[in-house]
Amino acid sequence: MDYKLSASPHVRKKDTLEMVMYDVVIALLPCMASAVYYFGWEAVKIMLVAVTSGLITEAILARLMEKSWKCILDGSGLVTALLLALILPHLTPLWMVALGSIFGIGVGKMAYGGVGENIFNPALVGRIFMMISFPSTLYKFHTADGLAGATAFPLVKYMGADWLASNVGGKAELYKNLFTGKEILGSMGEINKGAILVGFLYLGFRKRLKWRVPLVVVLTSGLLSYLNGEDPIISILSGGLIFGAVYMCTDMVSGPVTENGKAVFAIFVGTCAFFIRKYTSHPVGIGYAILLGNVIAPLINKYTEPRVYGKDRNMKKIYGILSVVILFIAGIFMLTSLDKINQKRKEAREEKIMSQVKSYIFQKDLRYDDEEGIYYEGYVFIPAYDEYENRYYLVLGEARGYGSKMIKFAMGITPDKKIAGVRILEASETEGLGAKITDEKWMEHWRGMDSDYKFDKEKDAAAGATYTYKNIHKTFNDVLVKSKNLSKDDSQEEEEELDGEGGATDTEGWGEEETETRDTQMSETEELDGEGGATDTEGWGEEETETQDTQISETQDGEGGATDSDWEEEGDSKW
Amino acid sequence: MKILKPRGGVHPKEMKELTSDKNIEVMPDLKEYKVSLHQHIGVPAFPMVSVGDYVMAGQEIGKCTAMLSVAVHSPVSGYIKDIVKENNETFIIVENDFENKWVDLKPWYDTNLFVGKTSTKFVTFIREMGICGLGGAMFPTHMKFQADEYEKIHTVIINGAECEPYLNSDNRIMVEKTSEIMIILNRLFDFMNINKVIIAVEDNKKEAIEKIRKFLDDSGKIELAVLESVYPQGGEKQIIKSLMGIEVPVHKIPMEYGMAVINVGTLYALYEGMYRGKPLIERVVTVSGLGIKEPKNILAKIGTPIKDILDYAGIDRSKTYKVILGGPMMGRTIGDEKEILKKGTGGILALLKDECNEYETKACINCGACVDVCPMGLMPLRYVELARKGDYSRMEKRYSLSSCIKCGCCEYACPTKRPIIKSIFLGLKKLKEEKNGL
Repeated sequence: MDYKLSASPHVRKKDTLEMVMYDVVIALLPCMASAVYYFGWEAVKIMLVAVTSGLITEAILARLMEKSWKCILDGSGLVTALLLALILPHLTPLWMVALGSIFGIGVGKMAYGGVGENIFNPALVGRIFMMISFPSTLYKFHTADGLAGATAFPLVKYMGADWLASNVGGKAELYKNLFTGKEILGSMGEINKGAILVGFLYLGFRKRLKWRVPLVVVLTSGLLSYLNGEDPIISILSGGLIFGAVYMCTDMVSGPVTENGKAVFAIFVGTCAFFIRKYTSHPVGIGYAILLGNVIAPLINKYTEPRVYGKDRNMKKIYGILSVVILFIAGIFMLTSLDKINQKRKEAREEKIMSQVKSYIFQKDLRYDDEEGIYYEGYVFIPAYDEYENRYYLVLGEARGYGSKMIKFAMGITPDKKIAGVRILEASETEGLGAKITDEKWMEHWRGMDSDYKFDKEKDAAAGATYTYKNIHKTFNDVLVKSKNLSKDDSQEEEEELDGEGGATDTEGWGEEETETRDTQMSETEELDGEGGATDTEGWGEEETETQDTQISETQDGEGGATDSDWEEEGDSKW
Repeated sequence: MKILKPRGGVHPKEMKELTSDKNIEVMPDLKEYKVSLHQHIGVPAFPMVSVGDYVMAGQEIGKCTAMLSVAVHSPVSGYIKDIVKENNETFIIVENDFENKWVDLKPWYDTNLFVGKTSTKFVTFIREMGICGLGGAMFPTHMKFQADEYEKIHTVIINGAECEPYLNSDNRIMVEKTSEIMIILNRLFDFMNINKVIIAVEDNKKEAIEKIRKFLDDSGKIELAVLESVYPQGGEKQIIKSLMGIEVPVHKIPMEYGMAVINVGTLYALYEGMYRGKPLIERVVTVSGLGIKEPKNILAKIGTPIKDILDYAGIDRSKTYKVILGGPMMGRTIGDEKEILKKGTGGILALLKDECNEYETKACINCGACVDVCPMGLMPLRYVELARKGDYSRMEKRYSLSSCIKCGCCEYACPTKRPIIKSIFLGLKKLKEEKNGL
């Protein structure tokens, strides 16, 4: 009788790779359910496409690597594909989903040798790949109602938490919305925090993750934003922070091995997430943070090895890692405090300048009820009143100059919609070309102009820089027109106006914008022949509105604008 | 007493309930016994008999020739049938004449050898009685009371943890031979300069704990420590850490820290030797596993063929997948039933395939389970990587391979079933070769 020979231990834990992976799939079920609840068939389709394309890729590559195609059944590919699907916006085109899934699994995982060998989280590799390749689609998100915009996090970042709260009716309501994902923009799986919490508890009780990892990530990020004077609850609940912390920071393959290492990793990722979200315009900040964490995971492993029984801890290592951590934290605090000091100085300086500007423009003392002003059609209108309660406006805006440089100006508008005065606040124009812009005489001559005023090359422009001055004229004209509209509008009608004309809040707006940009180009070509077009003015104005409304990355527009005007200016000088 | 929790550890399915309430049965005598002369760590015993000689039960048939060695005795009376050599190991085959003639037993107290607190005679006595560690390591017990360091020992720890799944031999000894154990423990104070004896038992042995508690007095000299049930709580280094808070580094023995750890089975063997003069010729073995029809604890003579023990307990040969000598975590599998019972064999297990949970080996997923469960604070996953690369010296230099106690927790817990212990053994073998200049 022959018995099986084996090395000890002869019994094993009832636990396999498949069980680990399918536990994660089970933990993802609540998120998948909420995605389907909010986004319906779109979510189902995206998940199916991601899973099938990912698994087919894995099977083919496994065959090429002379492994059995059956490795796709171990669940790791399924987890990757589902994670990828859940961190995508629901309007992502399906071919794009497939491409991301193929890249994530093909390059992010199989290229390293398959499960266990990859150094980055493959789902994030796929996501970031898609974001770099198709920024126009993946930098915007949609609520279930189809409204376009940025995720809640950038909205908070650029518009302020209070603005967001006032939109939904109070902070408590906002917290609730952020938690349940109702009316919140974001990727499919990450908006419902309740579902993520259920998954977290499941994984925790199944001992598939260390409780502390997601908690530390979230708390670090929250604490830093609290220290930075933000609302920590909003910053924690918005964006994909919690989803990433629960499902991706706890990815075993790409994270550190040791228990202490996992804690260090979590602190690192939390800190990076805070900084990336605060100082860059990228969505999926947590994704970048985790990839950065993956990069340093081997280093973390090295410095956080457990103490060997009977041996002393290597104190050099401890001191090394401690000093790095302390330097890191000190750096953070220096950066934030410097930032605050600079901010205060800047504010003080601006206030001083503004008071000078105000007195210069109106040449009399006015009463300002609302220092913040109204943001309308791309400009800030600050109402001001004289002793007879006549309403003046102080308008702050930007005109586009040569080489996409923006010229910041302040303009006063009299109650009868004439220019009370103009002051250029900031202009970084090329020497000689646009120097006239800061000329007292030039600024003075705008006083009393109304919207019917036609462009006069002699008076309004300097030689060789007609384009810039034309643009300034157009912009001023636009401001006057807008100010008329503004006075007409009652506050109730304002929203309608935004929807109807701005078009930035719905998906169609994006299409419109593109066509308008093209229009602008065309009309500018015409302009070369000496014809100024009113369409132009509108084009620029529109585009600016949209830029600020939807917070698409400035670079896109900036670049577009740069090429346009470069070309334009060249043409001009030729003429 | 403050009891610490050891680092890491795993909770394998205990399966102790199969035999935990089975009384120790004395196995009937067999026709033939095959006694190995190398049943302990160290130098094999030297055969004292030749083919055709008549030996009595308890007669010394293998003499110890070095310090790190113990004597071997004949389990029964009869003629020496043969002396064979298999794989560098000498076996003496004794044919039982069923006369049950014993040598003149000389208990410790009869001979009155014991005068004052001296170690030499005591050490020699234990050695002559053939006593070595019955917990599985088979380390000669007298080495624990050796010469100069003997005076330093202040605490004796009786290891009744028995953390290996399935096994119950120590448990049953504690339940059935409590008074004997307590007698020998009290005597330890007479000839050793110790101030404390701690009996360490895992909390899953309720019956044993109750029994021992009845024998404890108020003097506090003998203490009972109930430990949390976690494998490998019964490891020497782990039990010292749990009870004393001291870590005994690699290449050091507990004696240098004033401690001696003795297994319960060994303690009982000491009792038999000192009070009855009976050398170590039999031991309690747990025969268990789902492949055994009637799992039981038996008192079997050293040298009994495994086949007969399995037959006695009733093995289902068609279903049995693995036969293990020792516990499932640290024991070793045997391919056939040719092996014989040795002093260190605490259990004979016949496991079915379902009990083993064998799965296919997959790639390491860096989950860190092995690091978490390692009681020694090592990074077991690295050993597999390095063994595959063949970088054996790094295993020791960078990852302290020699600290490993081979408990098998890492491989047990591994979800992808990496061959960690295999790599560790390979690494240790290569290191030894390197050291020997091969």
